[in-house]
Amino acid sequence: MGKLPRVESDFSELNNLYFGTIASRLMMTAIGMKIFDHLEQPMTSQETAKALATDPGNTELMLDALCACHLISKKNGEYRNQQATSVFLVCGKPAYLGDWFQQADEANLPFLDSLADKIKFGPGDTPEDENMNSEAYCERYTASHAATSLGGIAGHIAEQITALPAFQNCKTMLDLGGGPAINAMAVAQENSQLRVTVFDRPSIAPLARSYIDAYGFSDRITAMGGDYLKDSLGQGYDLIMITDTLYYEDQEIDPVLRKCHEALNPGGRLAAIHAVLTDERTRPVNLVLDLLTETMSGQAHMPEKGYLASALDRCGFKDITSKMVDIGGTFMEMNLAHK
Amino acid sequence: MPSLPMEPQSFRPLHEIMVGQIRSRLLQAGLDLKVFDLLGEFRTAAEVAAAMNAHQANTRLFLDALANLGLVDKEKEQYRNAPLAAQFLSSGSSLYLGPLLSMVKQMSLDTLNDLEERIRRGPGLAEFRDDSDAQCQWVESARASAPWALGEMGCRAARIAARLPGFNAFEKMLDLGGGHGLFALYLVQASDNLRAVVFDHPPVVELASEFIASYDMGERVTVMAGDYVTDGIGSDYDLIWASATLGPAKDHLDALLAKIHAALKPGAYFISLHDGMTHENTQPDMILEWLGGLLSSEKDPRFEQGELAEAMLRCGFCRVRSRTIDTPLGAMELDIARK
Repeated sequence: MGKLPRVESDFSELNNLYFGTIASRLMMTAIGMKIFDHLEQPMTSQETAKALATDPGNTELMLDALCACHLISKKNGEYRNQQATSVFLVCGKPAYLGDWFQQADEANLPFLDSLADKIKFGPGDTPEDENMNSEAYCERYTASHAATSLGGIAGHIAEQITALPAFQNCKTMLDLGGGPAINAMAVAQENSQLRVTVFDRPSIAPLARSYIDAYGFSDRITAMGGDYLKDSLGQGYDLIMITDTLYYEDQEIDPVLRKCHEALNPGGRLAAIHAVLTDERTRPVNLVLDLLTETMSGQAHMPEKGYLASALDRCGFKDITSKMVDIGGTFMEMNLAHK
Repeated sequence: MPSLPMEPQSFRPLHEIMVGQIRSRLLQAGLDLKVFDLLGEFRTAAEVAAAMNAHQANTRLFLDALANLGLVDKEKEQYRNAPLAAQFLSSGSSLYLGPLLSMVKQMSLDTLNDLEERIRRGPGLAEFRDDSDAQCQWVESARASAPWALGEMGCRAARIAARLPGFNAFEKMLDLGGGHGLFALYLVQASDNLRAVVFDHPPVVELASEFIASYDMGERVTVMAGDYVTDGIGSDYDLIWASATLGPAKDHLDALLAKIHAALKPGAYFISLHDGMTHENTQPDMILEWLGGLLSSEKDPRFEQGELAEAMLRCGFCRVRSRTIDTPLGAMELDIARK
């Protein structure tokens, strides 16, 4: 005879974990259908269904569910975007994240559908057009990811860089792998004499120029296209900023850092901010999950805390210091080194 | 010229939603691969990969991700089930949730695959399901949901009932739509005098009989087969318990409550544990779990908070006490009505 179990812990945590998929699918479907574009002003479900040409009953169920996800609110039968939804999920807003989420979702869904196979059989081959390191993928990613910089990340990066001792004395800066140049603009905004070169792939440079022109920094910031693994980075920099880009094996990082060392003025500094794995590669919380698609597909190398300090040391930098900094809720490693 | 946006709002909550599906799918992959069965003791990633006949590097990434979710502990490059996983995700545990989560996947997650289409076109024609299919599904649902009662809720139900005035003198109770019958077993075990009848459809009571036999309680707990909407449910009960069962009978609610009322002794109690929507049908979170089914159905089996209590009063009960309780499946309404 078995004894009825007397259990004090419950499985609500597992239940919540399991149902994470529902909120994701609701948000992505709502983004795809541009539902949030209609809810900047309060609307009933009937009005929303009419605007979207959808079924009224199921539209109401969908809107109620989006409320449960805290993406919209409901009052007296009318629905309206929550503040974060209004800022980040309405098309045309400067920090619209829908494109970025959709690109991530397109990569994640087929991967998640074959997750057990990836674990059993390994990364397998990825078609060139689906490779996350392809020129086309990077170009689209940089464009969609720019919204995260505009959505607050650039401000957090700039806060760290502009707090460096004697930052106001810097006259020239290289932003290596600087993407759309938004971080560079946020830094330059705090030092009116600073001139910046933003270096990234040739296909990214036009995007950077468009942002530089749009925000009026073209007299102080230039975009240079090239391959920083192969091409010259220019020279005469007081400061080199590298954020969220040097995710390579040691043998690829070292030549880049040696080039940076050469490109700096005597006494110049290199400041780098990168996501790194900690706690035996099980933290930070979302980083491990965000990168799973890339790492399990063999398309990314995710370094551990301390990797860049070792590389800087190998490449002739001195006075290397490292600390963890909060960049929009994610802890990243910031390394500072002198020539 | 626009100025660089300095958005104080964080997009982290939206990103959390996005990552939710990765968490959910990792848990599902863990169940599919039965990895939690291998992690009763600390093992390296290589050992786990060998035991699963899986790819070593991706197994390590997978285990790191499970550690990130808190399902697995990692120490010195070795992994072991965290207490929650040991209790609920290891198939040898009596509280194993695998079948419950599998049912939930089928009912709540897979049904969202055509979410946009459902919102655009409405429920469409419900799939034809013959009676034998439906009965099989009831049995499977009842079997899969057993860990809900075994994992903490059974004990709580017994504590709730035991607080009723005169509980120790109760002689006979009915577990209406009792499925696995485990709530009846917990309640009976809380009293020396109480006997119980578990009422459900014919194939379902066979399952209840299995549980009754496995806990050797056949002398005090019996089963009654039938359809509680159309058939008699017995009489002279001191207590009738009904949890998560009345929704599909919503069209016959008043007649059913009158039948329950008639089956109770004077002054006896009816305890109902059911969903209860609040905040204009946007809470609790449980509404997300129902969404997939509701989008495909013309009927809505959900109750609003207070709806059952009002119906109980309407059908002759003299007093109803109601409160919301947290369960592992989400917040539910507990109504205790007195004849």
